[in-house]
Amino acid sequence: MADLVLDCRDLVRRFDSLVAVDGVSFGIGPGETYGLLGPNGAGKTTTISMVAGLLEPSGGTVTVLGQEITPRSTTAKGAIGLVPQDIALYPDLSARENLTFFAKLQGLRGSELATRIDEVLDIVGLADRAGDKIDTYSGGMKRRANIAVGMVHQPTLLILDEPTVGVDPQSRNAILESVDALSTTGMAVLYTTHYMEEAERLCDRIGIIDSGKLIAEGTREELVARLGDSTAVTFRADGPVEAVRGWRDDLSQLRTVSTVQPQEYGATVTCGHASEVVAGAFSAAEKRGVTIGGVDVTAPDLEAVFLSLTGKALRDGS
Amino acid sequence: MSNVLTIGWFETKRYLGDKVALFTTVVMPVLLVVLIGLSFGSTPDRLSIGVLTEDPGPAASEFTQQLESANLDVIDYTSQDDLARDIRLGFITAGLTVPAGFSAAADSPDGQATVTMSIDQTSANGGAIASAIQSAAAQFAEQRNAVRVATNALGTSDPAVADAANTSAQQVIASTGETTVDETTLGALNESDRNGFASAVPTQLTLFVFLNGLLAGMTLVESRRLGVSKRMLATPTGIGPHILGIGLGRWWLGGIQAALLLAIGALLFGVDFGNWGAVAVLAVVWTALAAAVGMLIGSLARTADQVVAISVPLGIGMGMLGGSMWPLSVVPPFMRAIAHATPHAWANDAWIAIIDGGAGVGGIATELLVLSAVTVAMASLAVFFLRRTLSK
Repeated sequence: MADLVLDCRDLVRRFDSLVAVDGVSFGIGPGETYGLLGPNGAGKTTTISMVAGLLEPSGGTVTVLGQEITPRSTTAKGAIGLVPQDIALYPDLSARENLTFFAKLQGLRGSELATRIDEVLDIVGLADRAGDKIDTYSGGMKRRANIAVGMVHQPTLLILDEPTVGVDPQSRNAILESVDALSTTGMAVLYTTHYMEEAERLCDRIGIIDSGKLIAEGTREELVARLGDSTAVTFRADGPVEAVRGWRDDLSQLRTVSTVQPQEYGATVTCGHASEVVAGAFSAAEKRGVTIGGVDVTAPDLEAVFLSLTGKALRDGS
Repeated sequence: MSNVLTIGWFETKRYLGDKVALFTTVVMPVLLVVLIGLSFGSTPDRLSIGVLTEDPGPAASEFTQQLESANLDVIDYTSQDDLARDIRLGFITAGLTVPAGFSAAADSPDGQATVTMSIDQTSANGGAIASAIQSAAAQFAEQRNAVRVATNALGTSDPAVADAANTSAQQVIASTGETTVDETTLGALNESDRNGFASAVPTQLTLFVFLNGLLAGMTLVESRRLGVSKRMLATPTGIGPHILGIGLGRWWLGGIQAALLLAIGALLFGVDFGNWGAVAVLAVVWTALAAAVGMLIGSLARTADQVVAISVPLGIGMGMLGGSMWPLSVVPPFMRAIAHATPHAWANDAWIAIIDGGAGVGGIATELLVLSAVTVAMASLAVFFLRRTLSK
């Protein structure tokens, strides 16, 4: 696949006896947004660190535009823009100064430098606060400045590592809009998140990663299609702890149920025939002395795909 | 290379925006140079001595006059307590008590008379004033002996004869050829030009440039903590240029600090630094060394607090050991040998060679070689340890 911007082949990273990334392979084409979806600790950040040339792979290769990326690569890194999970900026400098600093490290000079800085400040909506120090910004503004630095040099590949963690809904929406706008520029984007809705909204293709392994990959539709006619049904249940536990076991015995995910007050199941499962759940609850206070039936989504593939929820990784 | 300059420039810019850091870099060393220079700046032209005369006789008065003619400032006291207090406070260098009966004793046949001298044990000029008093006492005794010889020879005790003999003795003593001893202090070849600031400026420069260089490690730790280091490494910037850039920022700042201290020393305090080429080369090498050690500490420490905890005792301790707080000439030979395990001793040796010995770059080549080797070693270790830290 010579036209790939990013090509990861059999990536492995070990930390002593821990295998954090285990044989991960994927590629991203020009203008494509690829989501790496997985719970905390799945290996997303470790994968990104290898892709950005910060971490030496224990095995496998990363190439960007055909050039291998390792911690010793320097020139090839000019094609990459990294937006780390934490705010990696100088808090005592303004957004414009931070942008100038990193843009110069990427080789921008003169009028091109000034023009690009103004452009990205506009994209992330910080033009009117560009001269203020970062430590005077709100959390959301810092996140946006963090993103601006990653794309100031118009990289061929932009890597965003959970860029919306810990931000308010308004800022989160602004960030997602900024990333969404990048797809029109032809930039390849690698986006990691554990928020299913972000992956669904932004990504052309999604790779699901868990325990260091890429367990599924495809468009949202392709991934959901793996569930067949499955539906996610969430029950809110109340009763003695032992009774609820027994009721959850009963659910897993019902016909067409593929997974049962315990929730704090009840359980979520993926199943083929929702009506049949709902009826069976009520019947089992009555026998166990469990009260069902509500039922939500949702169409299959990435959350359900992840649940189906791993037997655990995306958010808590348990 | 351009990335090294970019990092160096932004580090400098950030540092110059930090008012507390500027105080410790610029204001504090200058203040210390001024204080130390003024404190140990020079030996006063005339030493002062307090005299408490308990004897009303003429010999006591003559002895006091003898002290004044020995180039001492004589201040009269009427109380032993006042005299002792002012000695301890350093208002006068020494105190002299002329006891009751002094004149009678001086005029007696054996001429044995005693005065009591008091000096504070910490006085820097105690030796000098003791020597001056001994000299005045010897002259006084010589004069009294001459009078006694004359009156004994004439076999008279007539006061008019004694006066004439006394006058004659004074004239003879004044016109008598004398044997003088020229004192030369080794290592002080330009003694006439030397003042206290000639020691204070280079030693404080060595001490503070190094200390501030060590504290530069905080910048590196902070850069790691903020994630900026990793972000820089995701650009076309390797670990070497990253460290060089941050170190360069501190190198420039060290250079500014050194230039300021040297300029103040030369322009305000009249220090003659001699060969400015050698001064510049030594200052550049020393600031580079300080920045390199700072980078090493920054690559090893996990927090800024750790950098401070390491740097302050290390900087001050090495400064003490290496002759930045007192001259190595006053310590025993084995301590001088140990001192040269610190770069400070080599730098201070070079400063003495330049300022007191008039050495040029060639004259301090050995010291420059040692300091440069230490700089390269420290920078290499810093790159090694930072690479290890960032790959975790």
